[in-house]
Amino acid sequence: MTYSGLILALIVYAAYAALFFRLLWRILFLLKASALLITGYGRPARASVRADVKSLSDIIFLTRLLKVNEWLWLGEWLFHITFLMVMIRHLRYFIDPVPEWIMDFQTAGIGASYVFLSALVYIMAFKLFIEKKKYLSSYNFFLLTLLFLIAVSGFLMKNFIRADIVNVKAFMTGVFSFKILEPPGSMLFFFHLITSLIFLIFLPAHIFAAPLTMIDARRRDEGLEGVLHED
Amino acid sequence: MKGLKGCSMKIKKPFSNELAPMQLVELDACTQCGECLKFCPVQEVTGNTAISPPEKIRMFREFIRATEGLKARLFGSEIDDKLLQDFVKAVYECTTCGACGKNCTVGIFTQRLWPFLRKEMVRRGLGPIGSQAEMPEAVSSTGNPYKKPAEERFNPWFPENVSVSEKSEIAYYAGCTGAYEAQPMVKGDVIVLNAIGVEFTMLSPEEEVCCGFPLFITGQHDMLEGLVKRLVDAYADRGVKTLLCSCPCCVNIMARDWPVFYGRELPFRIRHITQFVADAIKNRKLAIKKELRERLIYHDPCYLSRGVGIIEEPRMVLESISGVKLLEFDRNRANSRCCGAGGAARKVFHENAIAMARLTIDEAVVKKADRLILSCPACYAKVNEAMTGHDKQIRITDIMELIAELIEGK
Repeated sequence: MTYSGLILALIVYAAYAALFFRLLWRILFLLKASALLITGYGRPARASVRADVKSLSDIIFLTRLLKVNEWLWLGEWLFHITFLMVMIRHLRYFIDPVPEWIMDFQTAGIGASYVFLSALVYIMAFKLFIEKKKYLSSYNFFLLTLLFLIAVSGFLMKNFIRADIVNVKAFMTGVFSFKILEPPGSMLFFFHLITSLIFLIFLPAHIFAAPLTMIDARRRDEGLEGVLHED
Repeated sequence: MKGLKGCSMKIKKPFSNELAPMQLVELDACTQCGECLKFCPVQEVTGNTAISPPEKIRMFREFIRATEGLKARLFGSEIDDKLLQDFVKAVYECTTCGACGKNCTVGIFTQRLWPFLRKEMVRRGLGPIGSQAEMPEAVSSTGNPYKKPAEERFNPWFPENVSVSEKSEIAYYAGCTGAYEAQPMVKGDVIVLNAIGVEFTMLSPEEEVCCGFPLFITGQHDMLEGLVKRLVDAYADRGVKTLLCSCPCCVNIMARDWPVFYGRELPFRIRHITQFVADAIKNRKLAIKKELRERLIYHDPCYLSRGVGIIEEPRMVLESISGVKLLEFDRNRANSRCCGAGGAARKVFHENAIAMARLTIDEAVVKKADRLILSCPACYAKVNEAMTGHDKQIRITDIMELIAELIEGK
């Protein structure tokens, strides 16, 4: 075990602990709110197979965004879908032995990472220079910038300043199995890892909440007819 | 604004107590994308992004974090007074039209969320603002938020030739805004019901109190249960099976919230007047024989279209008039633009409301409509007010006022 490896491992543990406690706190907070039985929401929207199938499409294809801004949708959908693909590709560095399907996914995952970087640039450029939006969330831009830095450092490592991939995997699997090894001697890897951990700490809550509200919205839309049309 | 002195204050009372779990999830779900600003009528007339829907959500999240977050629990925290003041202004300047929610990329039910954020402000003594604060006392003493005497509720407009039964399966609720501020509208309602030949009952002017909507929408919920129980029991005593009303706000609270405040399902069903009249036309109980060679443009009230899904019935009624050409606003049906009268904001932010109403008037004029047809008493009062001193003019008529005119042959 080396000091640099230990420090880096502690940073990783701290980031995951922060995320874990944040999620746990949020779940406890919502459970407490559920216990209060507040009727403020009125009568809950009724579930139906039709509404839930449609809401699945809302979640996967971001159709609500498509309806209001098709050009932004193009960037956002590519960004979200390729983000997921890049995450799947990265499982390779955390799992040993690597399942065959993850190995088969590598080409698609690498392709997705280029689209991901392009989509990020597109989204920022679209909001800033094409739509010239009056309302820009600083939190959103912080996250987009962070992801941009993660993507650029990943891009550089893949194509120009390669890190020792064997060392990277050994270090990462070591961290997750509490056997801390020497970290790879790549500043770019260090930067990529630290920015990824910052993103993890600031992981936007909508990742978990938005699918739920989309399901509820679809049920509500489907049920709107029934508010005054029920016999 | 009450209770805000100094720069910051230690607040321990949680901000989440008035919100349902799904509303807390909705606060988390907002991505701050800002797409909703394109549909917000307040943004259209003020351009002030500090009072925009995502900003309201961001500020409220901060209040929750400052009082109930892990850091706040461990180390304590303070809330910036200015942030609270900004939030109160933003949440009360909103017309609660719900256009932001209809176009929300993650589907937040804002038409319902804003009133509950207001309720939280009321609980803290920070809301409501301006004359809205007088409403509970007005409703308590006179039965209506306008502080008008009960004897003036029906007398000035109720037609002599229309009779009301003591008991009937069908009842008509005029509503405070219709009865005091949009009398041609409620007069039209009863004339049309009479023409259909339906026997209907009404509560006495003393019994027909506020439906609770203005109190609900401003976050003042204390009296709601009492008002609702009083009204529902009075209609039940008259053997009512169907309650008709033309005010979208009343209809909204009746259908969505009365069962909650009543504690169980209502003993009657709620119908908007256009549903009843459209059925009567379909069943040939009502025939509009007089022709009207006019281009009409119909404005969907927020709480009727987005609120309870009454969209096609008013169009069906208007299209049944021979000679009529029905035009549409660019934003129509469930995506209609607020006329400015909603959310009780018109009582405090008068200039915003007038500017919004004029946007509706302007579009109707640009589309070369002969008449602007409304079906909400608040829209009716505010859009008529906005015509005064405006460079563009159009004839404004309520949908039932128009049908009554044609039936009576005026």
